[in-house]
Amino acid sequence: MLYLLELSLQSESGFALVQELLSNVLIKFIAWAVLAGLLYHLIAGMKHLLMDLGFGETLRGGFVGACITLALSAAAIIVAGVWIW
Amino acid sequence: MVMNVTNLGRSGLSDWIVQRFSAIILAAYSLCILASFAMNPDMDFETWSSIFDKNAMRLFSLITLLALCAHAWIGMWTISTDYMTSLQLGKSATFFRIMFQAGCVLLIAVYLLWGIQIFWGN
Repeated sequence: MLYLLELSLQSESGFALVQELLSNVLIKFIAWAVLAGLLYHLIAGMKHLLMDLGFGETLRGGFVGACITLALSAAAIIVAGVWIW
Repeated sequence: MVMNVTNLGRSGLSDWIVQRFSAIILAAYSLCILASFAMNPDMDFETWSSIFDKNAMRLFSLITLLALCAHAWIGMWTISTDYMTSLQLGKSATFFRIMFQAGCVLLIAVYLLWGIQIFWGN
């Protein structure tokens, strides 16, 4: 990922090369997998911080929170997939 | 007395708070980058490099990079001290755990220095 960032910022041709690399199906899939992990971590982390603040700190609240986290993450990951392809 | 010698703040409370604040910084930066993609559906090199050229963005990127390193280390330390103990790995657990942690530190250092080169180079 860092290599792609460096390449894309180095020069116009580097940017074009990144675009070309990202048109490869395998690279697309890897990018999607990385993004999926990141999005899930982001959303689960937000839930974690909300629970630190005292929201949903019951057995039922924890269950509902976990369901919301999974649903939001699944939606975000699907959107990310659509965006990549 | 046994002391913590490998965790970031040498104190669980310090690690806890650093983990939360670095999380907020990382979330803010992630959302900014996502927003810049959303606002530029046809991202080209000019737009892309102008985003990272601004001094404010350079500072934000560097702060985020530092937050990422702290966040990653606290996270990996927590995982390795939870799941790489003598309970799972037996007598040589400490050796494997320290080797694993050393690998993490090396990787984080590479990310930090390489990241600074990317954001602040040229």
